[in-house]
Amino acid sequence: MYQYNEDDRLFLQQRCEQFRDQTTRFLAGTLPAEEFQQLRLRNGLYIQRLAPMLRIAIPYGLVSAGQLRALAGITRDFDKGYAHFTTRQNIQLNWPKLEAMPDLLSRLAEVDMHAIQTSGSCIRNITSDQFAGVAADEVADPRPWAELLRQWSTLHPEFNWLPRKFKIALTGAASDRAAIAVHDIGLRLQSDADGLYFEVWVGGGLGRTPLIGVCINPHLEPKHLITYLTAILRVYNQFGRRDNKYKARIKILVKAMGKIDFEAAVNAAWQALKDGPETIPEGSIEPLQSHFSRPNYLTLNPAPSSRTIATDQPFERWRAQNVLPHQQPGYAAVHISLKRKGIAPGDVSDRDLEALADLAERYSFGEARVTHEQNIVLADVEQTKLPELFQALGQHNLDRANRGLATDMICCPGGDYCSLANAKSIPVAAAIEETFQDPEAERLLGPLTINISGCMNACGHHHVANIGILGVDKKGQEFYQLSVGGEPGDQARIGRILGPSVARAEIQWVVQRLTQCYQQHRDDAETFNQTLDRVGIETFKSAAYEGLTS
Amino acid sequence: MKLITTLSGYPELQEIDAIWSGYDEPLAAKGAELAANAASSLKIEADAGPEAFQPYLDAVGLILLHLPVFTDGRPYSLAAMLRQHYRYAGEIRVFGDVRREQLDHLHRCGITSFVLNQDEDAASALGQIGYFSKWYQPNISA
Repeated sequence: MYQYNEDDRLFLQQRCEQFRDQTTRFLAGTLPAEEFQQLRLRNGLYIQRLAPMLRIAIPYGLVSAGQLRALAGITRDFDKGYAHFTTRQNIQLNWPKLEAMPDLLSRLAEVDMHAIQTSGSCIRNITSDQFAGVAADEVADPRPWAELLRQWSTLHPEFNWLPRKFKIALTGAASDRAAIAVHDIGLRLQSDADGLYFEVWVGGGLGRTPLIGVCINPHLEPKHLITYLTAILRVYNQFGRRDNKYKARIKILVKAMGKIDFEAAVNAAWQALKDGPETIPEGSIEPLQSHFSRPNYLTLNPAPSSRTIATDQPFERWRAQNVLPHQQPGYAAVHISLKRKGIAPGDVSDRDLEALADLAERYSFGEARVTHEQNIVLADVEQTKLPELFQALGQHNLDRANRGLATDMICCPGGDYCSLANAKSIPVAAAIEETFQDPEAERLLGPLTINISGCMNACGHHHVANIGILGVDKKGQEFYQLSVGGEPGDQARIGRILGPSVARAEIQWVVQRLTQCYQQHRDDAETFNQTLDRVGIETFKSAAYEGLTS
Repeated sequence: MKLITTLSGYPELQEIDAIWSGYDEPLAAKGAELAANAASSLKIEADAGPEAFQPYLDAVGLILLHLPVFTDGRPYSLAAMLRQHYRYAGEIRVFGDVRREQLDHLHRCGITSFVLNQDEDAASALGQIGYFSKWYQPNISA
């Protein structure tokens, strides 16, 4: 992974000192509250329902064992001994104290971590494919480019005060696991006879107005990446709406201008920048690529691939569900589920973090990845060591075989923590979890996404789930609106609202009836969305609301 | 680089030759106003489109950019475009809700003088410029 140099460390140290000074001035009453709010947001600090919340960046999801250990220590020393992985490859602390923030940020900086631009109207943490560099379907490794964009976007002087937040995601694989179509900018690294190029997507997003992005440049030479993105941001910074924060995202601008006019405006802005000083010189991406070179893999024989899966064997079931193919013969990528019974989705304790650090060191070259589905990946595990790893995971309650299944729910912190939420999310996930007691039944149900957001900001990505659940406030009562048919990735689409919202007590039964309806109507190996498309939403609707009076 | 501490302390601000504001205003009217005044300085609101005043930049030695509120990012891009797109080499001065925490970024976008918000201390504000030893982006002002 990327190794900080002296300049990176000095920069981070100065940033920490700057925030220490700002915090001191705020607490002394010499920095106005409305100004400090903006400054603290750009250092990841929110003031939430019960306490401040700190969002720490894990750039494109890569984290070292040492960093995981440092995070464990920080959750103990500054918080209540646990943390939450988010849907944007970040990690959140729920109970830090404002006065302790400067020390906390300095502790993070000791392990080359920070919370810069994890909130505020600026370019947020760059996200990518959790299997970057190892995925069997990869065209090119997006991580050097993601790191380039991380550096470029860090305290970018021109783009620190955008109309609204701005999220960039990259993928370099045939199959999009970074959800690029629902980001402000989505980049897909591709290759043809002339070499690598980027497909540039703009104007996707979830939230109040969910939209799938549009491709405004199907073939961008990599050397132009920075100048072209600068042009996009410049057009947005200039013309994005600032009068209404609900209409301020770039997706609204792209929609208002139309794809053709927006593309033309970007091209006009680009002409002043193209081939200018920020063009990436030939040979300059290679030093970055060297940070992401392949680890010292052993020469191994691949394990036989076509085996009968004995699903009554826990290891075999876990292997079939959570172990993924790898570019290197004899190695595998291992998905570690953070969707565990009795624990909020994506939550980890200090001990979990330390266990993950130990396992990353023992089995995966000292690195782990965080996924936007709020799970962990050990990307470089020798296939012969899988049984051993499975056993070790079991000792820490990290061995659940539910990758991509119904209980692998994406879920925001919701009303238990977040001051934006209209309703709670975590108890809804727990209630749905209760209806899937039998792992074998869940496996037979097959791949299914159930995503939960506590408000229309959609941090839980409910729009792109097969079954999406959105918390709404109905005269002070928590209700939940359901949508069906959403999907992230290559066939990205926004789910359709099913019907009236339902009370908290009903929601798990409605979800259960939807999954039963799917099982009852599906042909062979049809996915949920394929069945939905074939039989129509009305069938699902009548199943879902059966017996409900309100 | 200049730092001007208060609005009242700087008479030039009361003697602006032409004021352009609003992206959709007809170009001809603006041009006529500028020509009639033989302007040497120009005040630009945050919502201005730079292509409107481009033909007259050669005649201008001072551009005043308005920052209506410290969270408004538009003057940053306007300054960057004046330097990078229109190759404007004269002075660019920002006025309005200009606070010390903004100065370093404004300066790196090509702004060369600052009319500070009344509440700001000039010396500590000026100290912000060049605070960081290293940046990840080139300096447009350099």
